[in-house]
Amino acid sequence: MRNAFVAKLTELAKVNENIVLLVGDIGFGVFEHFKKEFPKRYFNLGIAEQNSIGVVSGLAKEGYFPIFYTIIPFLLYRPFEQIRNDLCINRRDALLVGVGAGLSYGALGPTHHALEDIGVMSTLPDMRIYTPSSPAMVGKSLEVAITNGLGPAYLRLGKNGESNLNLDSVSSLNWKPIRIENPIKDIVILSHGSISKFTEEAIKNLNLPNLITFGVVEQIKPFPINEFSKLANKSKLIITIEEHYQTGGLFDIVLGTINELKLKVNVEGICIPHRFVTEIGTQENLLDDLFMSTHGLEHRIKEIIKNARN
Amino acid sequence: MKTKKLKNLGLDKNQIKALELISKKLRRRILNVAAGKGGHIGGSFSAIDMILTLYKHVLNINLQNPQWEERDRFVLSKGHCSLALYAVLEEIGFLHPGELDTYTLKGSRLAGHAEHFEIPAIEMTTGSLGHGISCAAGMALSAKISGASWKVFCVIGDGECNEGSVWETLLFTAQQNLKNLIIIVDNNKMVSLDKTNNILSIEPLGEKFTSFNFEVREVNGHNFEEIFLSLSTPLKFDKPLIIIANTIKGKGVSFMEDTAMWHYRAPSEIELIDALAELN
Repeated sequence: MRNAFVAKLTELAKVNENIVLLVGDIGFGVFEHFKKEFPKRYFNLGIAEQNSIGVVSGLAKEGYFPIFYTIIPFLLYRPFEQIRNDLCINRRDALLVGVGAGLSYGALGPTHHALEDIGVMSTLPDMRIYTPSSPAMVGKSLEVAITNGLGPAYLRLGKNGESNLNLDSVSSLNWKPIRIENPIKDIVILSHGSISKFTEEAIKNLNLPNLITFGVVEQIKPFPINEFSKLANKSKLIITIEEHYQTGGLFDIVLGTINELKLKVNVEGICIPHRFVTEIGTQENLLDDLFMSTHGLEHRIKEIIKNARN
Repeated sequence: MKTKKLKNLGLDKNQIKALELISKKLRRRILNVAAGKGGHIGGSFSAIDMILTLYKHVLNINLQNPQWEERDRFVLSKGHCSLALYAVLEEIGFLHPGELDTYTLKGSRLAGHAEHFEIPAIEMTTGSLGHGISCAAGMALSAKISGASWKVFCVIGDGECNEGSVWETLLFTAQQNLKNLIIIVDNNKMVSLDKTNNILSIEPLGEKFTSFNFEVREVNGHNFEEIFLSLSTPLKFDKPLIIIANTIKGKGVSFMEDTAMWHYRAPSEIELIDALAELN
């Protein structure tokens, strides 16, 4: 996802001269090309996230479109008040790009995991949240985040080396806030971010094409209520799968939306259990342990369907 | 269209006299407004002489158009001293005449901490300490990238220097050598409840700033000539400038000076009469 981000950013910066890239001293070798191409529009702001968000705000105020890139906890948690005050309250058009969604930085430990970021950002009025489900969606998400709507936005990236989804090869499923197969069956399984790949594989292994429809949410906030209610009205059960705690994540947002719109559909959520993941291992190791990689998900979806039938 | 040009000359006696009279008038105005509803009087009285000098004699602004693109920017990072900023903005015509009377009232444009949405002359909404200075540095960086000639002036407090973000911004400002950012420290040596030295001492401030690679000037923040000269004398070094303005919290009213109680307070009727008498 990271390489897809840099490639698209470099392309956009050629056309949009207001784009300024700021990084928090991460990404060895990643931005060399951008730096060479736009030396006046690249800054490594060092390990100083509070100041960095202020600088983002000041640049945005004067008409630039700043994009600040670093690891999610440093990007969002350390300078939360700066994001709230200097970007949201002051209504600045800017983009925060976080790497390391969910358990992407598995072995680096819980300080580097990002399992509450969507919840944290969701509490902020005017903050937009984009959660690309595959490298193929990163470029478009970036474009949408820059051009759609005003105010600050957060783009949640995994790391590097993720594979694309089978969904990505269906041209009718180009970027939309919710990308979902057609027609809608009784069970809709919605995912977002890099766990979408495991979700898709699990569904494929279950081999229930007449029962299950797979979809991914690319834009969490503002939540695409119309698109969601359309699919919710056609299905009987929605299962959300995400690499995030329940609190403030997609499952919470779906529950809230169903309640608000008085929709008649059942919902189940598969989320990271509400504890710090202190075990050591790769993203896939940790998801294995939590029954959230392909086989774990397969088993859990089967259980949910079985219980729903009883 | 340009109204005030940076001059490399001192102020003359008449200009100083005029500033002294205005500063007393604005203090009286602030007291009258804060009576009955409260306000950050102490810090407003320590900062107001610098803000007044900036707007009257230093900032390159257009009195007919507060959003003139080439204007110098002013950021009040210690946003709780909005009363001082509002009083000066009203004085120069960037607020409606008499508008300060609406301070914090329902439907007013004037919040307890300055908000920028409604008032074109206010560059940004501040209120939490250690934010405005970082944003001011971002504005200064934008001028550096685009080659614009305007400057950014930012007032912070000595108590505000307790915030780690201030020091991050100082590192950044020195690294980028943002000589178009001028930071003024309202060094009233007090925080909300006590003397700064008794809570989280930050002295020696000057040595700290020097070691952070700034050109440091120290002035009496209630002496208009000193304030003006510190802002208008060319830089000696190829470094950004910080001015430490030594001030007195509550300056101008004897019983408010250096007194924690007057950090935020609504003067009673008797206090108001006594205070106004001292400012005549």
